[in-house]
Amino acid sequence: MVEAGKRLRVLIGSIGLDGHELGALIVSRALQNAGIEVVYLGLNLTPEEVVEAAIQEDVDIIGISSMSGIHIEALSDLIRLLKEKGADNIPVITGGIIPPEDIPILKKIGVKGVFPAGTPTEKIINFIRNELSLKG
Amino acid sequence: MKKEGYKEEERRFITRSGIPLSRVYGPEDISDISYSKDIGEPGKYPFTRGIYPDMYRSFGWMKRQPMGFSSSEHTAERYKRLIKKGGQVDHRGAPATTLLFDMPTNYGYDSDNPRARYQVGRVGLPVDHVEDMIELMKDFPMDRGFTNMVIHGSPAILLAMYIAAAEELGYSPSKLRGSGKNDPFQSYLAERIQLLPIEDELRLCMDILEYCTENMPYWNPISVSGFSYRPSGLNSIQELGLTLASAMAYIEAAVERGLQIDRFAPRISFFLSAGIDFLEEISKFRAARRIWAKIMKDRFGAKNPKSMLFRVYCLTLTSDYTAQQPLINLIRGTIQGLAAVLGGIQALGIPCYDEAIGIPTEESQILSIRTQQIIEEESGICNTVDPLGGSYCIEWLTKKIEEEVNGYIDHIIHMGEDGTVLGGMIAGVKKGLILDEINEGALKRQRDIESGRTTVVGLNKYREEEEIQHIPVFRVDPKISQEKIIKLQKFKKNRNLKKIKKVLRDLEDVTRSSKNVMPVLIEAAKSRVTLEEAMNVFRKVFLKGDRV
Repeated sequence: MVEAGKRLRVLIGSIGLDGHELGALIVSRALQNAGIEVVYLGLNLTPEEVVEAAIQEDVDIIGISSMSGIHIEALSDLIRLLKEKGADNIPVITGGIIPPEDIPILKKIGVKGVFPAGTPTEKIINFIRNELSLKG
Repeated sequence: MKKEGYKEEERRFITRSGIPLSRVYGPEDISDISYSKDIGEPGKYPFTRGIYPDMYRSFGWMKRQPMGFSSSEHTAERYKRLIKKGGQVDHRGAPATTLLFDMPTNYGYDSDNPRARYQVGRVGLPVDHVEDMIELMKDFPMDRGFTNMVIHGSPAILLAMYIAAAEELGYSPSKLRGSGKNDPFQSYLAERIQLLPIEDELRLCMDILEYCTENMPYWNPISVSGFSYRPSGLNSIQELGLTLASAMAYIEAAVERGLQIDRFAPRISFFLSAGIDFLEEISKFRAARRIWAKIMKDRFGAKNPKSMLFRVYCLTLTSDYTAQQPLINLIRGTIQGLAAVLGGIQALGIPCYDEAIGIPTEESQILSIRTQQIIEEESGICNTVDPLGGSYCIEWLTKKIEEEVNGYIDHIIHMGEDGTVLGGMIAGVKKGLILDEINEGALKRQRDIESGRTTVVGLNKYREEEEIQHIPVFRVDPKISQEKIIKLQKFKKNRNLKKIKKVLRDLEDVTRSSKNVMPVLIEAAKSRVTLEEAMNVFRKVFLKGDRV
């Protein structure tokens, strides 16, 4: 459970070479407006970089934007690395261009929330709040 | 007279760029527009009604669906099948294509670089060296056909590989027809691919322009590309303003280098979007032609009428598409395509309805081609030139957009200190001013959608219970990228390393000098230098070891 009074911290970034930044920016701004702290890591990350930053920055949740169809491999690697580092208590969520039939696959590899293009940002915020109040 | 109780103010009658529209337009709204001076006959200055006298009555637009995935071989195969459907061709039936490259290629990495992980062949085709280019082009008439290469981070190297491939296949560079997206401002601002300092990107951009002007009379060396500014967050006015400002900056840079405007300007071409706002988009293309003609004639003193032609490839706007109820994107594509053709474009691509889900299937590509064919051969809008010319509303809106766009260009000039557009663009890029504007635009659009101020059918209105329908999704076989990496490693072993070392040294020397890099880049491509090896020379010289 996240301590009472502590501001939620969410890591936002995109894995792999890709310049599509819009989704990450929009979600970041919406989270900030909702009083959630965003650690904005930006584009072109490796899963290793995400895990390192997540641990160092002590984030409560990791949000990965995926616009180029690499979500299954990239998030599998990310979640495996989190486990290896003993940081699999940090939930991972994702959004972007994601075909509907991939959602159950992503859930199976351990992604907690999947938000395809067109999801209202409010839904993401509510999900994060619920997920973190249920955690622990 | 307004009827009692008619609450016009409650609905907002504005275009997507925010221009308020009146209840009705009449002669007084366009009384300050002169037919001969401001509109003109089609094919005559200022070309508002079209760049050719007969427009689509003499020949239709080029149909170019953007394409590229998996590998040279797979891309070429699909491409050949689509030609048989009447897509990917010009009016003579010669192949015409728009090629998309994968992310590692755009970022200047070979397929076997660890940073290329996940992305090899994923959203475009991988090109590591000249033999990939030969594999792609070997069955295509490179002199008769038209190749548009949408390449962001490494246009000089890719063009060198294209030229080297052509020569090995028996074509002289002087015969090659096509265009390359050689637009560093756009790569920086819209694609967010910033590999080298902007001044050095501009130097390479000018090397391409100079080389092509001397050696490739049928190639468009710069395709100034506004399209991606729209999905990134800008509206139509900003899109056109930034595109024209970029073009003006390139012209200033070329003139500074000593190039003759009437020799190079006729080959500068443009790439814009067409969004869902039908009237605004039609007017945008009409305004673009008039503004460009006036800029070239009055500001730059061009004499050759061909220097004044705004030749444009239009890709309709994917960011108007929704992942929800994806089939309705077919209707959006049709409306956008109609706007583009009524706007008088030279080449058209209509993105596929499944773009918001993944990269297109072959079936969805065929539907887009059929949409173009219906617009051209059934709708009747091509029977006469500029059928909407003279409409009170369209002429008023064309003029309004012209004023707004000129204002935007001034706004860019004021970002710099020397009164040039080039100075303004460089300052706007370096200070992050333009990027901030783009990001703010994106956030505003999102707010407008979430608040319902902008209607998006299926997304914020008329949403269905089952949000995303299951439609066939195209998947790139992950094995293909593994195969590509193994092939590349084998290729690297079978090269003449002495020759490679020498040509890379030559490339470094030329890059450090002020000479044109293109001849030695072409030599390098022929010597089997890879994309990343050539890019690393640029990284070494221009980044001064900062981040190789």
